[in-house]
Amino acid sequence: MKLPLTVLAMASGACLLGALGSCGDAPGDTNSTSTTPAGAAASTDVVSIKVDAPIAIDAKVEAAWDNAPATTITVDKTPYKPSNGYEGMTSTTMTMQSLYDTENVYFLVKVKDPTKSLARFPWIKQDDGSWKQSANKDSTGHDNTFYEDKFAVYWDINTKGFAKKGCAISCHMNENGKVNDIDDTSAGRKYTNAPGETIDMWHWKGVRTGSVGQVDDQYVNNDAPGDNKNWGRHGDTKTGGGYSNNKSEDGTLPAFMNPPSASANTYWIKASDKVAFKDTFKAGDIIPGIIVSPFTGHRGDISAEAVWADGVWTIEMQRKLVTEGGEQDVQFSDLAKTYHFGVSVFDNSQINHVYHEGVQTFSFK
Amino acid sequence: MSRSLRSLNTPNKISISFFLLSIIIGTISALIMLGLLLSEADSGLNLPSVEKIKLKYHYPELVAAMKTTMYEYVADDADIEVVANWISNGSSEEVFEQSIKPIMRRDCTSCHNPTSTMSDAMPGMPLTTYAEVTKHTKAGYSWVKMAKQAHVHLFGIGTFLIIVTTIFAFTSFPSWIRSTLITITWTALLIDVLCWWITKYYLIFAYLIVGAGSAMSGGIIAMAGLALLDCWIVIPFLSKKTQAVATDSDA
Ligand code: HEC
Repeated sequence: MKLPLTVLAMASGACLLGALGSCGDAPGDTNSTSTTPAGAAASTDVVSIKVDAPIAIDAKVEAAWDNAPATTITVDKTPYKPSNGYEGMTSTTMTMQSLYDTENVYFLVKVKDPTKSLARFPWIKQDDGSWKQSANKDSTGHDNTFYEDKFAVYWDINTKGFAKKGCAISCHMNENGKVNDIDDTSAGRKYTNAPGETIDMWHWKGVRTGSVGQVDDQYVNNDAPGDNKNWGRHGDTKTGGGYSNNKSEDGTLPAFMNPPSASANTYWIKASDKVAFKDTFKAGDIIPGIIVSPFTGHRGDISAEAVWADGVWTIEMQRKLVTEGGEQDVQFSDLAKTYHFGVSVFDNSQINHVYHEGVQTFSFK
Repeated sequence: MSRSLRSLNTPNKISISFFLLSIIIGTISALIMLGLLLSEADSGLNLPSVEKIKLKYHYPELVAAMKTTMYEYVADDADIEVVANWISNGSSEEVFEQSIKPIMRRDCTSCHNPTSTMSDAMPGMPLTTYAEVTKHTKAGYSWVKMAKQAHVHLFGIGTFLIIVTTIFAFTSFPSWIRSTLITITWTALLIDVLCWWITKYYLIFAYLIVGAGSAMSGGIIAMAGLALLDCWIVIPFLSKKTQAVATDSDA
């Protein structure tokens, strides 16, 4: 009887002391602005490993990749709910690995995506003999049905706040039909918050640039909207190449097609292969909606090959550590520095993307 | 014969003992809860952080959110101070348009706007206009929230405190011990609640909230614990003295 009661007495005594002890706790400056980052999103590190021999960009995972630690990133946020429904992923995971040599940095990205989507605005011959370019645009004018899979990386160059908030620092959602006080039908716009602030944007577009072995090398600046219809988003300087809509002048027919002999792709026409459209088709036949050719100039600075198998996109990318793209590119000139980035995945969607909050870090080992 | 809970009949002692035990466990649970709500931890018995208490009772909701739940969205820590200063200088509309709106727009309104369909959007709590933002700039708890919590707190704790202190008053401990503990506990209860209000205006009283809260719960646990012991045993040091006094007066 006596023992448990003594223990109880001691316990209550300890509580009393403990509670009173907190009175003296943290006698800090009462005007202190010190903050407690209660909800700060954890960042994830991708570490690039040095290799001696160059890596072949072929979407084949050679043995060298075994040495590069894979960082798993969950992307589970979306910027808007398309008005006409959305069948794409609202959450997925991906891994990212990196290698580098004296000249280049390489990335291997594996994105879980159960559907391989390449049918970007295809032309389909109708029963009445006319042609219709498939589309299903939402209230913002963007498509999530007849599109392509995409993957994007944002690299901080000099944007204040990116190191903490990641991509969100340049994300400006539509508020009551306006962005930056300007009437706008888009879901939101990307631009940085001050002149001179730039983000490097690596935009792998499965059909439009993936088909020609490239990532679209772009950047985001402070144009809001400036004289740019894409507001802050710009392609890096190019000298040629690129993609264009395969459409006749009056917009009712495809302008070109793949040569009948070629073992051509259903969903794109390489510019070098294109022949004038000649309608010998039957109802239900498909003509690609896009003509593609590799960018020349800085917009083509990043090469990439990708393959989709068993519900996973494997994308292998390569860029020079230091480019001549100047301010438009993140420059990996200091291998001791920590770089900040964010990633997002577009599942057959034009602008709706799954992203993560906060920022990821990248460094060289 | 000295007055003591020991002299009650056994069923009475059993019922009082269980009541006191419940009070002790209940108070410890309340401390655990407060410790968790007012610290970074998510398990165990923790000391509340004064910073958190300040956030709860002193800072306007907007500033408190920017320092805690919404901190991850704040691009620049200095902006929290900008917003805090704007509010303490009277939340003028002019300064709002000039320097607060751009902060809201950069960090907050992508979620806090009536048309947002973003993941984690808060369309029901927009922060896009002056009128919307100033709904969240009152210092600390609103008067309504405070008055509500204060009366529930005082009536609730008062009700069981009168039982605990009455039981403790009937123990065999020296009168000065009984009076002191009873006075400390009741006073702490009143000071605690009073400080909720005062802290709205004077930050320094946040420390008194912690102090008074601790004194009150310490007092309750001590009284309940001592009374529990007094039901069943002679406490060597304290009870002996009482008995000695009793013997003297009997002689
Ligand atoms: C990613 C979306 C998002 C962003 C960006 C965001 N909030 Fe919130 N906010 C929420 C959600 C969701 C809640 C309610 C749930 C919660 O408390 O977490 C909330 C709640 C609040 C509350 C109510 C009190 C509280 O702490 O829950 C305040 C005040 C607030 N936010 C202010 C802000 C401010 C100021 C900013 C800009 C610095 C901001 N929010 C940025 C989503 C967001």
